[in-house]
Amino acid sequence: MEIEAEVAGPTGTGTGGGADIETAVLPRSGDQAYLVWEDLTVVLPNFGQGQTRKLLHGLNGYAEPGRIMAIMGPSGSGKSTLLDALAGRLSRNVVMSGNILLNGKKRRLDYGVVAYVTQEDVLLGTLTVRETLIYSAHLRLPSSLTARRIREIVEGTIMEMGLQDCADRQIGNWQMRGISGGEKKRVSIALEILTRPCIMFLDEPTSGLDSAAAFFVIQSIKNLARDGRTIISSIHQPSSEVFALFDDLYLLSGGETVYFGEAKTGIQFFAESGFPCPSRRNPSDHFLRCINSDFDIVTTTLKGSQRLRETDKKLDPLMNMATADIRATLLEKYRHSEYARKARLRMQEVSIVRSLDITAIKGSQASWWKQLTTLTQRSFLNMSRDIGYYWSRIVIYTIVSLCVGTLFYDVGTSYTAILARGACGGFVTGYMTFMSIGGFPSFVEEMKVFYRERLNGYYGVAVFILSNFFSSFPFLLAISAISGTITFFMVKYRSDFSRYAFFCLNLFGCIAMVESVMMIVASLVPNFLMGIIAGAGVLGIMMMTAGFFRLLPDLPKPFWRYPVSFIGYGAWSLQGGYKNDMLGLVFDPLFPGDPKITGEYVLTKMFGLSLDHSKWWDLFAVYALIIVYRFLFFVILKLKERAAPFFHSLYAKRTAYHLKERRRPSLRRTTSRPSKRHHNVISLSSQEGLNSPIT
Amino acid sequence: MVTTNGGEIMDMDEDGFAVEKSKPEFAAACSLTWKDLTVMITLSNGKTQTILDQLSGYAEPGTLTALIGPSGSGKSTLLDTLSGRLAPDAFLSGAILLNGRKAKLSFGKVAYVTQDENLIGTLTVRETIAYSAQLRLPDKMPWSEKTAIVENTILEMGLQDCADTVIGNWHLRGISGGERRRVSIAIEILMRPRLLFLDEPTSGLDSASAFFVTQTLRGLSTDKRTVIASIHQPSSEVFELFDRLCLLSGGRTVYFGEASQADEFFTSTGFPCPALSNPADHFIRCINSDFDKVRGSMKLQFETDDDPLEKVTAAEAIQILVESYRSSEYCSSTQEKIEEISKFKGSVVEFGGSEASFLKQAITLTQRSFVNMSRDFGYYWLRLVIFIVVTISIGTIYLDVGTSFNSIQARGACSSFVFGFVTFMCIGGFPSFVEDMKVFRRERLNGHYGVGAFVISNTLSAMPFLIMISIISGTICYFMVHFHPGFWHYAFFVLCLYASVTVVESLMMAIASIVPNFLLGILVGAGIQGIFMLVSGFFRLPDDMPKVFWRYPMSYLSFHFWALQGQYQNDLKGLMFDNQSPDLPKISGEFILEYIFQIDAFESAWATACKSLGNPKVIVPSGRTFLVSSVKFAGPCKSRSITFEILGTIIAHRREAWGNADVGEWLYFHEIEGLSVVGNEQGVIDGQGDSWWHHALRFSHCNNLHVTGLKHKNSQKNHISINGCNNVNIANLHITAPATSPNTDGIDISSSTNVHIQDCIMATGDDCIAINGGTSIVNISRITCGPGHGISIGSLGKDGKHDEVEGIHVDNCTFIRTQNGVRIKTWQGGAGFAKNIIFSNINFESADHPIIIDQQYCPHKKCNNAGSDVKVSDVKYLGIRGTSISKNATINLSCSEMVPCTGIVLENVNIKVVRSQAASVHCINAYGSAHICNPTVNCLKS
Repeated sequence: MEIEAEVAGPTGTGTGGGADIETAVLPRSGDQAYLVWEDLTVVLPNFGQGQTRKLLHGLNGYAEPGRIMAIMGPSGSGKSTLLDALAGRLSRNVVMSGNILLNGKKRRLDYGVVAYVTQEDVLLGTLTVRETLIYSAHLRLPSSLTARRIREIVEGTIMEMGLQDCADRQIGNWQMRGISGGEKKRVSIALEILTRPCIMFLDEPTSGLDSAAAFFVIQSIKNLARDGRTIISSIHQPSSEVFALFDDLYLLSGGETVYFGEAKTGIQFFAESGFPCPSRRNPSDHFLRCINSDFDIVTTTLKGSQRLRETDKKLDPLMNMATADIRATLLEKYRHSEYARKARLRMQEVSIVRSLDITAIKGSQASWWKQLTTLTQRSFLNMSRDIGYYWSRIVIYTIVSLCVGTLFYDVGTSYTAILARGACGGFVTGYMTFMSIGGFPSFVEEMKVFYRERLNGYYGVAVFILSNFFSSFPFLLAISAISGTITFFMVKYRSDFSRYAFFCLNLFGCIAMVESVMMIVASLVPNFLMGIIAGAGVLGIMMMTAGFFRLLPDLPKPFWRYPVSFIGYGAWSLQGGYKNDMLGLVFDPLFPGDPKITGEYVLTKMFGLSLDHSKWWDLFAVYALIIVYRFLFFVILKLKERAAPFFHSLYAKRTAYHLKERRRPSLRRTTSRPSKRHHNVISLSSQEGLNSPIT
Repeated sequence: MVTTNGGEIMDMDEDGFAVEKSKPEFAAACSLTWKDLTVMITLSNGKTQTILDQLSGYAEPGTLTALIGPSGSGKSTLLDTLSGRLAPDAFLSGAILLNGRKAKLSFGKVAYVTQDENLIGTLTVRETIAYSAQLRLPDKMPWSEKTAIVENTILEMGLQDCADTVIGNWHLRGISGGERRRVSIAIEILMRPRLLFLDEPTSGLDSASAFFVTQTLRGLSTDKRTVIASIHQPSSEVFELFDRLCLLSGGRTVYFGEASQADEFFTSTGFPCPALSNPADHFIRCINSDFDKVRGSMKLQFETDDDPLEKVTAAEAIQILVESYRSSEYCSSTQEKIEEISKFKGSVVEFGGSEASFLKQAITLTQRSFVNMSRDFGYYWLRLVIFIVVTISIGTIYLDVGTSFNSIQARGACSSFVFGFVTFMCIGGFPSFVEDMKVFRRERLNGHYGVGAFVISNTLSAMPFLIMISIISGTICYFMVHFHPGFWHYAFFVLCLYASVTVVESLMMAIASIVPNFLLGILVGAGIQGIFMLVSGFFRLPDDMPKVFWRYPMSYLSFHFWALQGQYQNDLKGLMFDNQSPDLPKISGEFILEYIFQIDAFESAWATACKSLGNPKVIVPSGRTFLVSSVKFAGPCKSRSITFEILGTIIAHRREAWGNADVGEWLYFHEIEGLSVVGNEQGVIDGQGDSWWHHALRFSHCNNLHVTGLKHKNSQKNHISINGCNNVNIANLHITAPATSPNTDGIDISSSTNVHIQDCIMATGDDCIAINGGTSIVNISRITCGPGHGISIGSLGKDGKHDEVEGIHVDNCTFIRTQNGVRIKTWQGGAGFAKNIIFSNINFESADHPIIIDQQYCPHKKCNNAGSDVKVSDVKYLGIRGTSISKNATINLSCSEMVPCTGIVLENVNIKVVRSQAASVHCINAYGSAHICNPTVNCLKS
């Protein structure tokens, strides 16, 4: 037995993502994967706090091509842990020991190496099913493939997953109805099979789906298996029809094997062990009923409240026996059963199968340039379709700039106009850019997709940031041109072209800057609400130190003036804007008869600016800051990948602590990965969308 | 409604409601039958769609009836129909009978557990149930009894283990999904309903939790209650707990009857349930047409199986099943049973919502809401933290702001930031409030309490938190920035902050009740506040805003506007600021308010004075200049002796600063008794020239008025106009305007009596004093007039008006280079009179027309020459001396041709005409006498 602690980073593919292309292209259809695991133990170390917790107890098993295996068990039995261990996706804070052999060779499967379908479907809601698949194919398949060949692969996959009816429908997001939950799940699976993996893992693919939708999903997986793939899926409470589709069953309870073998013979095993499945009962329901210790709690609670009648007891013979006892009996019986012996035998056979060496596709095979163009295209398409991303902002900006325009209409050069011009500049560069927060939810959605794809190694951080910049560029330009033009000409600043251009460029800089700030915020905060609060706070501070609310020379030097107002964009853009507006103007004096006030005087004496650099330098500073902030965003994303293990271990400590502390009997177990099953059931035909992003 | 004997809880539980004595009808069970129930809705394209098609069935006490079917089969609609919750636009036919009578069920009357559990996450299970009990159980019921009911309910729903655990919300880990579901049910069964509806009570629960919930439902039903639940996909164990089964597909009954016999029915129809299969799964599999879709989409044959379902499509299967059910014995036995139940006329069942009084509800809700707010970190605590952080930031940025020239703007910006952006942060509590609203909607629908109780309770419970937030952040900000020192200034600041925070809170509540989701709410709230902030008077001064939309209504609607105005006054009034350079005089806070921030300091000072008793005084401080826009000082005031002391300078805006504003008067005093406007020889009023205002300083209806010691110059039109005032004393004024300025009368008097003007120097472009209609008893003495148009009575009788002037005495006055001297002027065609007028001891220096009566005044072409005229009588000229430069008519008495002047007396008149021309005397229709006159007057008739 060899102990190996999982410590490596997620992929290590670096920025390019294309650096690690392995020689293999697509596995030929003949490739087959035999997976064997021996004495698999997963331990959650309890750093210095007493005993560690065993999540899996020396499990053995195998998976063969052409078959589909279900990992079943009650909540907290270790289904997901087993699946993650096999797929090489265990979180960094647990220690795994034992062997996992793929085609007889010990190898570590890692993120981005095997096809793994997570419980959540992280997809871009604005793309159609076909587009989603095509873009993904372009991102990951080798650049050498022609567009036509890629299209063929995509069409084939659509047919394979039964998605032809919804291929041209948009997937849907929180503000737009789209395809149903079952279809989403099948799209997620389709994405994974694009690269023709010969082994595939699925984490509770049917959770949240109604019987028909669940049946459809599992049926399509079964078709995949029939093509010679090896498929392992954890599943929770399958219906009778769904259960009937599985070939093999791995029944877990408390991290131990209750049963491993053919799904059909499971019923026999339970009958032989003295717990026959009643004829009018779904076998999977029966299995879980026998080993789910939650039922013990139900029984005791019901007894406590005197609700359990004699008649009820007669209805259910299992009620007379604690599930803990049943479980112990089953474990014991299985260990010495024929099934266990057969399984061990077969395992040995399989483990010596030296079939063709599988050269897994790691990450993406597309070139860096190809990734960038594809991502830019996809991102642009997403932005132009998502009303909440930029369109709504264009509308809001137009309205706000009309408001500003009418309020400051033809501002003139009277004495009060000095203040009004200052206020107008302050409002445009400060509050108006604040509105950029409106696009935050859409950006968070895109980030989710990025995290998933990054985790799978499709592309690097740099590609993502660049593509996002390129695709958002036209929109930002449109926003700043529209609102800049409206404001500039309604307020009647002096209308020579260079001033107008400066005004628009300055506005563009501010908007792009706020965008960059919000990106950084998005990468740092856990959820959307915190993001808005934190973003508003940061922007508020930038606004406060911009020199409008408090003149720059009056700002306290130590903190506010010296780093804060320098790294905030506000001070620069406001200075530039003031210079652009006021230099060369002459204003009426406070008392009639006094000499007129020049713009230079206003700037230096009233606004406390120094005129030793030109407005273009200020503009340059804003643009330089944009680049700095984007680079910072890049660094944060990189650091997060590096620092993830550290946070994981912190999280693990907390989890372990909670597990230990939780004495109260409850039907809920604290699992490190919350399952989606406590959601309402989604039927096959029901479409998703129109929910608040945080409900 | 429910009374228990308060004894053994277990007994009561076991015995059901045998213990209920007071109102026996509630012990009655509920039997519900429905017959030929059809529900149709009209789609948007005008077609009708049948949702339920001729359904019949029944639910008896002591049974658990499950409505089962695939998605879209109509189970929720059936449940809604039976419980009276059907949408009003749906068309319903058929009979629903409760105990043989027509059921009157509706929202708030019948216990209905919805699918979404909207519970207050911060309360424990026991608290949740206890508060709900207090909200709804009768006030009279003793506390111990209520507690007993609560404890009993907890036990009944198997919640005893988690009774003291909080329920949990989006950021707080709490009880499990199954437990939440049971809490929802517990709240509904508190009132001991005989009939209970549940919408998918097991959805989203795992098998053990679902089993537990269903088991408790079964337990409830065995207490002779009628329980009807729709259930989506029951597991095998859950299915075994049902008594009756109603299987629906596409709105039609596939099966209704004993749950245990459903299997037989399917077998007999040719769809036997395969061994080792969950019957419920099998039934739904047969009738779920979605499976057809699966088969269609996969485009590949299923493994050949002996499953009959593979040979027919679900649509066909449904047709077969529905047909065969109709002709089956199950159907006929159901019909018989329906008939049997509906024949038996049971007792009338009364349903009522809450039985607690409004006051009790409001108190309980306030308590609950307060507990929730104090436990929910996101509600107010988070905001407190943010407020503290933000105010500390503000405090350090504006630390000890001082009174330098720059600090003027800084104080304004700081106030604007506090009331604008800080209150903006109230948005942070929005998610929690939205959660609250969800709970409210559910409880409101179930009739637990009304809208009034909710609003009152929420306001009351939020108050302590808002006060705390305002005090803490207000204190930090006030003392760090060093706003205007003084306790009341501090108190005002905090109160203003509190008010603003409360307004934002209310705004967000209003938004929460309108918008569908949280994100939209935040966007809308931010947008509205942004616009309000824009018109608050900081970004754009109030008078510079476009009038049409922004100034009137928007700036008045904006709470920022009021808060900011109040704070500016609170902060700046009474402070002195440095000027731009040290050699210039200091600037007063009032000046800043008036000029920089355009807030009417005078008006507010006036309002204070006007409300005071005693002898209030408004002082315009000496040595300062106040640029004042049009301002009205209106009475009536409490005091009858108000002094308006002008020691400094008041100047008007220049005309161009006012655009096209049409303002009748600049400084306007109206209806004030006992007003003294005192200048102490140093006050200056400067109207800044051009003639575009009508009256610079206007007094109307001010009795007992004193105006003294003012310098008044360059009025726009009349310098002072006195209208409708009695007992006026004007003294020691110095009124000046260029001789060429149009219509700049010195003092213009109309409709007033008892007016005394003395010791004034007037040099204007028009009359020094003009006396108009309705005026009597005017004593004018010691006036030095000129240049200007002299002292005039009239013009009277304009446009045929009736004017009366009498008792005018002008004494001891000097006219220097005036156009006219003493003049009586009436329009042709007027009416009324001018009588008892004495001009005595008058000196002229180079006056143009020293003595004039002009009743032919008609500067415009069209004059009404026929009819009446103003009658002039008893006019005495006594002791008139001086020089004239008149070319003709040194003494001009041109009276009306129809109404002659009578009683004209000239005595001791000696006017020399300079520049070598002879003096001339001119009379028309004038009667009277002349003694010792030079030039000689002999044209008077007698």
